[in-house]
Amino acid sequence: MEPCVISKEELLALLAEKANAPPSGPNELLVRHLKCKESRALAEAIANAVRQYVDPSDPRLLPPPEILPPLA
Amino acid sequence: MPKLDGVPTSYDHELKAELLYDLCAALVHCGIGTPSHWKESGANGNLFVRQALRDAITQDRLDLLQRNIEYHLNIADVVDRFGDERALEVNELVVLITSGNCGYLEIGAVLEALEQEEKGLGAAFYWELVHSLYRVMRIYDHTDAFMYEERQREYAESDEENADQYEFPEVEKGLPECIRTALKRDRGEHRYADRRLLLRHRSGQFGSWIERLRSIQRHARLYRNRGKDLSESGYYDSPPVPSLLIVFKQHDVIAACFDEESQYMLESVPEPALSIVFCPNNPDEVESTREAVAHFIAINCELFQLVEEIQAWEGQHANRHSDRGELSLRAA
Repeated sequence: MEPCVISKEELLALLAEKANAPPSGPNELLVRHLKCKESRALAEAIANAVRQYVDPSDPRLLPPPEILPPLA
Repeated sequence: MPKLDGVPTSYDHELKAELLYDLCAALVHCGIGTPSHWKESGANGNLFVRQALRDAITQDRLDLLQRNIEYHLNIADVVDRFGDERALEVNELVVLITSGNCGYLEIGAVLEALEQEEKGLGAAFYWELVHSLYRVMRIYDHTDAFMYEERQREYAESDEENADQYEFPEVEKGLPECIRTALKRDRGEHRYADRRLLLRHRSGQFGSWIERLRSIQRHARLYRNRGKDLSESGYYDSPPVPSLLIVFKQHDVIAACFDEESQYMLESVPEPALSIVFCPNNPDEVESTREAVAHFIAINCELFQLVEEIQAWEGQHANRHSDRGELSLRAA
């Protein structure tokens, strides 16, 4: 919902309330992951894969390289 | 194979959110952030800060700066130190302005015109300009070219076997006569005479340049970086990228020295053009930081308005080929 225009005093009170509010559980979990080097490396690898393979006009994955043997 | 299309690729999270909201409140207290900004940002603290700062700088000034230099303004609770992010003290933020390239001023024709107006006027304009800018930002001028020449000569002396392979820029020969002459005089003795000379010509045909210079001087005098300056804490391993390259003619000896040196300017972690640590809960620190940033931006705006006025004047008064080449760090 779009916030309506409030007074300067109301805005300051709102900001103070937000500054003092404890972080939510999911937020803390994300922060813990972002502090972990392995999690960041994995996230980067996934993000790169998504950038490479997600294309709304042609969502097919590229064929596997020759080095990957067939399953059967 | 499952498709990755539609998989969410971003999320929002907050770390030390209280600092962000303290910064928002500080911006509201000093009149930069308003309830309208809060509404426009959709109650998002990051967007609120960004929009409030953009409006405080104003779109005209942002356009002017973007035409002339690549500055990045960033407010953070961590700083990059030797490639690693280091957190500041609790409750501290840092405002950083970094430059990704270098503004460009070709001043030879201007000095010639001023010297024709009255002998000494061109030199006075040049010295007053560079000395005011030295107080606020790193610039690359004849002094840096002299230092580069000296270093090259020292390298050659210590490398006797290959000494004949060194090329030395001859900086002094490349300077306009009025600057070469002024190098030999005592600046302290001539400073007041230079200022009086400039004041006499304030209403003359070059009055607008002199007024811009006076405005730069005023802001430079008021510019006080009172906060904890990270550049003094050994955080960075090279000086800032210069905010301005001042040459006398295109492709002159100063431009040549800069082109050699600028190849290495972004290899390390250069010091920002401005870095001030402050506590958003401390009104005095917020105010002194606001003042310093405001003066820094004002000086840059005056400087680049002067640069554009000079470019326009040169376009009208000199039918010259203006190829500046494809050179590394110079602003387009």
